[in-house]
Amino acid sequence: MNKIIPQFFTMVVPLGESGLRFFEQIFGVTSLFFQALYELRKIWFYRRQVVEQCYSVGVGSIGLILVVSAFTGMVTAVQAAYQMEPYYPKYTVGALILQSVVLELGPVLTALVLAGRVGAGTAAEIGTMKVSEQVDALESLALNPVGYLAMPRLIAGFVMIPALTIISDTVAVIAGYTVAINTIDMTALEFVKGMRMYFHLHDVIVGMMKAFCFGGMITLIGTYMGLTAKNGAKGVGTATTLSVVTSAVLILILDYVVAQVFL
Amino acid sequence: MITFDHVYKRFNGNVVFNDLVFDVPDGITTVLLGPSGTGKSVFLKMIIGLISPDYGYVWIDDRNIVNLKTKYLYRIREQFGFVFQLSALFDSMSIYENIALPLKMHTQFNEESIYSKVNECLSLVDLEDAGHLYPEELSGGMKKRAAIARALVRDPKYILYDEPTTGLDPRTAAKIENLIIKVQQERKVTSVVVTHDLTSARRVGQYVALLTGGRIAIEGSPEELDESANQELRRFLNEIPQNESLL
Ligand SMILES: Nc1ncnc2c1ncn2[C@@H]1O[C@H](COP(=O)(O)OP(=O)(O)O)[C@@H](O)[C@H]1O
Ligand SMILES: [Mg+2]
Repeated sequence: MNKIIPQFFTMVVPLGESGLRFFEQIFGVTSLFFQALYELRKIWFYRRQVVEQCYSVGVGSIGLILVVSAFTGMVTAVQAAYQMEPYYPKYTVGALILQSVVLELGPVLTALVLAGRVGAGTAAEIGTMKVSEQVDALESLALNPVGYLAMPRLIAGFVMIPALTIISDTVAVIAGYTVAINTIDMTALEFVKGMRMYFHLHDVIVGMMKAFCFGGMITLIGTYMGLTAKNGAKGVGTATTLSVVTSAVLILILDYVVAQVFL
Repeated sequence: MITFDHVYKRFNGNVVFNDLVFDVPDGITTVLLGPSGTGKSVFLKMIIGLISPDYGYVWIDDRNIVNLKTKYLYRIREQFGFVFQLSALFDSMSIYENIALPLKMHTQFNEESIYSKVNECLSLVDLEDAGHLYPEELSGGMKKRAAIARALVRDPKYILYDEPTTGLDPRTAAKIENLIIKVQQERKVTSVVVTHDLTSARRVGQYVALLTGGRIAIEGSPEELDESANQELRRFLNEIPQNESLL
């Protein structure tokens, strides 16, 4: 008996601890989110950082997004043609490309790619600052890390990632169109007819809503993981990995939730 | 004046301060000595409110900063310059931008006055030509000097140094010590230096205190400490291999 109880605890306590850490993280991310919102009142004070972050997230990611979305559009066209051709009129290819890109592929693939580029970059940069006392240095200079680091990145995520998604949608549809009319025996007119028949503003709104949620979440999680990094270089590595994995999983979960609620 | 008023602090059961009482005298350089892991960094971080005590007060110019609202705390921090152990320069910015940052964020100075102010600080620390370099391009000693320049740029009343000579070769360390003395004399700041380096303490300290076991074991002028037979001081001195075994 005397031995069983400690053994029981050594087995159960780690489980409890990781559960506790999970809730601690949810609480931490949520509270960082609200603190960052509160710092919005100082947006003029931190305007340089906001512009810098928007530039780095937006302009910095364009090349990557162009490549990813062009190929997404192209493969969608090929696959749509393959799936639809025997059973449906050709113009449905246009409809299928438009809807799947606007609703799903544009926002989700942009977000997943940016979880890698922006989320990991944010976590690594802020994590390095944290473990090398640069975050403390900000505090010592009477600069609030939430205002200086988190808020501008949150804005960049909320604004620039939807903007990139619009670009991605456009490029993917154009790429899909090009492939469709060149490799499948299909006219431009048919493609456009399909797109027009199945265009719903509602889809665009739902797609952009997804992009907006993903965008804020990617930079928020990256910032949170960075700010809570500890134990030197290894800790920064962990923070970076955690940021990408958490964002990727949450993107897919959120994607489902938004789809279920609004479609 | 900085005052620690019966301060208690522990991290997960690890007691760091146990009824710490200490007054930092104004206008001179105070050295807080102590072995590694005794809470010297915590001491400095507590002064600017980065770490809060569990119990007790920290007074800055007759104002208790424990649980002070962020807005007021930040205003108090503007009177402080903090030189971190690893310098903590922002590595995405050049040295010039590092030093200019506090001015850009907190003052209405135009580019020209920022430029002249930053250059004044750069020349004080002998880095006139390094403004365009990035932290990774500097040696340890240069980084430390740049960090001192950044801490000084807003003419603080207090300047806090966390182990300013640790990890530097003796010549570079001596240079930093001279700089600490020069800053103290030219700017009339109140300096607090925490270190485990006796030679350094002896060179820069006008007032010296020994932190062990969560409180100040002994404090006084270097001469007073030289003559003291305080047991903990003797133990600390004996633990550290040193040519000159006295303060
Ligand atoms: N943020 C923190 N969380 C937990 N423990 C801490 C923290 N900061 C310091 N400590 C602990 O407090 C003790 C004193 O640390 P520190 O002030 O860094 O010592 P030093 O005198 O070497 O500067 C150490 O045991 C350290 O592990
Ligand atoms: Mg320390």
